[in-house]
Amino acid sequence: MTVLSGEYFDGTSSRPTPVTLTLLPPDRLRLSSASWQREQPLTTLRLEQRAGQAPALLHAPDGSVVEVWDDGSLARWMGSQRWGRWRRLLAQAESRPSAALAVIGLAIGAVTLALVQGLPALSGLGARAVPEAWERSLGEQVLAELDGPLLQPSRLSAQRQRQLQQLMADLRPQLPVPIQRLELRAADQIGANAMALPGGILVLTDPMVEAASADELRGVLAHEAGHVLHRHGLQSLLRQQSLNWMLLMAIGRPSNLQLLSESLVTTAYSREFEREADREAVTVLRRLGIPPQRLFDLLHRLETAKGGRRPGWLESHPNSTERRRSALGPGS
Amino acid sequence: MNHTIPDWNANTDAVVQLNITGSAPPLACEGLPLRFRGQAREYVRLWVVNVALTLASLGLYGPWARVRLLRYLHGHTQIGNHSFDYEARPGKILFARLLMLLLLALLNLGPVILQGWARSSGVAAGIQALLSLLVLLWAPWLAVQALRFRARCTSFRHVRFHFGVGGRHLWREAVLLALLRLVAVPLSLGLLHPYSAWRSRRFLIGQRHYGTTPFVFTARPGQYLRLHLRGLALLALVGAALLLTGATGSAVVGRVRQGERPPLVLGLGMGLGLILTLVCTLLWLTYLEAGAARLTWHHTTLGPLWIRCGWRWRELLVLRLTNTLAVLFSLGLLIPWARMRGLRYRLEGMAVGPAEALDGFMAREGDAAGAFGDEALSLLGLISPEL
Repeated sequence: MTVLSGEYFDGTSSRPTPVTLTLLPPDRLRLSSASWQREQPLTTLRLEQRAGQAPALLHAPDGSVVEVWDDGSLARWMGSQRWGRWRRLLAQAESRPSAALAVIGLAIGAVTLALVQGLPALSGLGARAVPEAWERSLGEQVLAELDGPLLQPSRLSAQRQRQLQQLMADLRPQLPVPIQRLELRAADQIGANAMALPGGILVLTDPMVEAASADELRGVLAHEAGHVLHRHGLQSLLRQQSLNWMLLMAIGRPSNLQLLSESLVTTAYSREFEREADREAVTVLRRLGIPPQRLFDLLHRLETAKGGRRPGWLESHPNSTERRRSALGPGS
Repeated sequence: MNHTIPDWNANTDAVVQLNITGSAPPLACEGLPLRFRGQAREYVRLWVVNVALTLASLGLYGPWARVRLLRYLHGHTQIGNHSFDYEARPGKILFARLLMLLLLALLNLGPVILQGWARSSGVAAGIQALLSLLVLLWAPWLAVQALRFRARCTSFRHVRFHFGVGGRHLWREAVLLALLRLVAVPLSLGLLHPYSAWRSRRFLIGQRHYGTTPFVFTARPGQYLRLHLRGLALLALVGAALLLTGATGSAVVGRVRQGERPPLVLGLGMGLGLILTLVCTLLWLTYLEAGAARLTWHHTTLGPLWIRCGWRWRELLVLRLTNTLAVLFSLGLLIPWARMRGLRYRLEGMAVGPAEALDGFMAREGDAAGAFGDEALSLLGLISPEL
């Protein structure tokens, strides 16, 4: 019969008492010191596994604790406890390299699955669950925040602005989703660009209007309508937020990892959104009888005008060649 | 029968290997020294596995991981043959964390929902400002709660520590200390710093109990003032290094403005000045840290128990510099090693006595401090978590 030695603390004083532990089959534990003996059903005890060289602890319901160094036998005795099996597995992961590697593999698998499948699926569901009124209010809020620091009132002539609004009005029936309104803005810092805000507000910047022909503008607007259709603004917000919250949950404090995840993961999602919106744009352009190639010509022109690119995996948009290929097929 | 209890003295090879600064600082008096037996390799393994489990569970295992690591650190800190223990229940931490995350989510989402509902951004912004103000007013209470939780989770020989049990006006003192440190000290150009240092220690130590026995803190503010005055000599060194940096720096800038290439000597002088400024600042801060720790523990008693701290600023400085360099040049890989080394020096530089007094402490009943304060302030980034 195995006899373990340990030290008993009654939980009311700091004086230790040397004890021996014996298992009384099937499920009772006997503690014996020089002057007393007590028995305790195993099911009432809580085992805390060793951490490194620190002793294993047996907590009794009355607050008393036994420190034991040989936790191998102890873990076997306690194996039938609730969570006992899992606790033993965890302890093994901490002490055996092979088990540790398995845990690391599991972690990599789980994170990959969550990023590739889980988060997109969840954000899709979440975006559909958000009431339209909230989404519209979010869009207004984003526009209000961008106005001023990044966007200024458009400097296009009133006539040109009317023309553009007319172009938008004519395009509307062809688009797969209702568009709230088109906003025109000067954007000295961003340059030629277009945006789709949550709730269906489209923004065109003056340089974009100047750089593009009417057909190309239709392509750009159709692309932005694709973003609106798939609620990409809301989805990317949801994905970014859930990532942030998960990191906060894991670490328990704000950390720089949040910035890292934003720059790497969120841009990857954004590239995926761009391809999805491109596909919508191509459908609309084909229906209008405009060669979809026009849109990608414009993108290519803007890209070469802008010059110097960062590596692809840091960019929020794939480059124009890649976008054309993924929207029109490799032969184009 | 005792063969299962490890004999630490027979197991020192691995410890000596890691202890580059040499032995622990010699203490002026006899007593039981604290021992720290954590090993970088063991700690790293524990850390990797627990981080992996946290990732695999998408963050839910986080509280268990933290408790596990803190249990390792506490369990390897010993007085005599007995170790400290960290007794937080991860389930409670998880609950507190989820609760605070929910609250934060509501605060974040509030404006969107409110604006959709109130149709006026002014009202929404007003309500959000009000909520933020409420959280800010709540913070001192949460801070006291966090101190209570942290103290209560720590035990030695399975008798817990406590903070502020039966203490009055803890909340007021927390506000006062925050104001003192954040407002009064900067306004007085640091003159009030010794007083602030004394007063915060009086709060943090004087409100602490081990079981039913209170810690008694008898240092006077004047002693901290004298320490800081002695530190002025080192501050003068910082000033001199700054002067060197400034003089060479302005000379370099002057030459560049005139379109000349500054001579190499000036550049080297500026680099040297910068490094000297950094090292001297570190030296000054380390001197104050070691001095304040010795002073504080020298004037702290726990019932019949005295406490001593033997940190030496030169050793502490070498430790810090070598740790920083090791972490820098290993690109962070040696962080756990540096951490274990720092903890070893700091803990093994302390002792308590007399040994027989350790048996006579009684546990306190009924101090249930929740994890919410600690979690809430950590999530807000207002305090750093214990790990």
